[in-house]
Amino acid sequence: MALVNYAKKEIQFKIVYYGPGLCGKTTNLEQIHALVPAKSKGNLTSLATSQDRTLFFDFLPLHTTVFEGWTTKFQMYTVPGQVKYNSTRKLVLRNCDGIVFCVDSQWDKMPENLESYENLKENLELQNSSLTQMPHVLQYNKRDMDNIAPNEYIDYLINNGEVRIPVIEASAFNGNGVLETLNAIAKLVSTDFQEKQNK
Amino acid sequence: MAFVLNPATYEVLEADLDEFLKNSEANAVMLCDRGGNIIVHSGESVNDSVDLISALVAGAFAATQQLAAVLGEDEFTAIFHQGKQTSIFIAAVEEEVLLLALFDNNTTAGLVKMYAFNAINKIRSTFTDVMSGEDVEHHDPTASFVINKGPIF
Ligand SMILES: Nc1nc2c(ncn2[C@@H]2O[C@H](COP(=O)(O)OP(=O)(O)OP(=O)(O)O)[C@@H](O)[C@H]2O)c(=O)[nH]1
Ligand SMILES: [Mg+2]
Repeated sequence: MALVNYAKKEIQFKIVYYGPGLCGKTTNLEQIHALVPAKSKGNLTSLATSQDRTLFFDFLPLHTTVFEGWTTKFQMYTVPGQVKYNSTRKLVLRNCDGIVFCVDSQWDKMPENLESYENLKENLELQNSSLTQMPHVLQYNKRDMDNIAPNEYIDYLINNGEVRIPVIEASAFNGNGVLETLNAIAKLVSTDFQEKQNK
Repeated sequence: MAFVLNPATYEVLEADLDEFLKNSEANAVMLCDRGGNIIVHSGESVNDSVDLISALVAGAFAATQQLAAVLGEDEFTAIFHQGKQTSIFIAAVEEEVLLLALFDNNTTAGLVKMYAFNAINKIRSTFTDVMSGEDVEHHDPTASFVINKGPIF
């Protein structure tokens, strides 16, 4: 739910990185934190287990100017991917404005990708939303690895609807595709907001 | 769906929060939504961490509501986190909105709680209007949203 403050000329969006356990969501935020200039970012906070698995969420506030004359804040979150943390995922998803679904490109992770994608749709439905209303992009991550499925196969599994979802190939681990993904979702969310406001 | 605060609403909310700060002698007070977005903030900037505080508080409050559900309570309307120096009080304003107050030993939990509930009663009616979209039409019709060219980050 975008928050528009006419008194402060400020707009706030919430963006959530979703996907199965270990697909690289936290790594994305770590790389964004490393790559975005200091003037546009706050601190990265991770609520994680001792094994670096996300327990609650990661949080990174970003700010920039998207719309002339307005400060735009993007509040970036990751969900915990592990199946058992579904109640936490629902919570983090609350009032979000855009989603990056992060796919683990390794062949043997395909069932987990699918399960997580179905889980996302269910959780959106529980908050009376859906992917058709929600700006979202797919990130095919870990493209640097050997045992990965071709893009076409992942498309066939996940990106098979009438409207093609934008795909960004990434290797979040070494920063490739991370800013492209961020820019893609930020642009989609902004355009979606603009269309709704200016109509 | 967007949640729109026009200048007039913002002023009303800010005035309510300022009054709460004056009466309760708390250090800072914020309204945030249950998704963790800050709506209005008044008082100290708390180490420039207001965004993070509101994200964490929304999480803590939501976790508490799950606890309430397990115990068969409808909801815990308010929670305290007590520290040596700084404490925090969190309460639901309405369905979508939380109030959180940070205070130190200059005041007491009881006082903060009392004034917070006073403030919440006032703030609630303002939000009912905002949420129903009733005051949206009063926002600046000349404002337009033009997206700058080039990559955002
Ligand atoms: N080779 C390779 N490894 C990656 C890539 N992205 C992430 N990893 C590694 O995958 C592991 C898990 O990454 P995280 O970012 O913690 O995964 P996550 O999605 O946040 O996992 P949860 O918090 O459990 O949901 C780490 O060891 C990362 O270094 C990538 O693009 N390539
Ligand atoms: Mg993680």
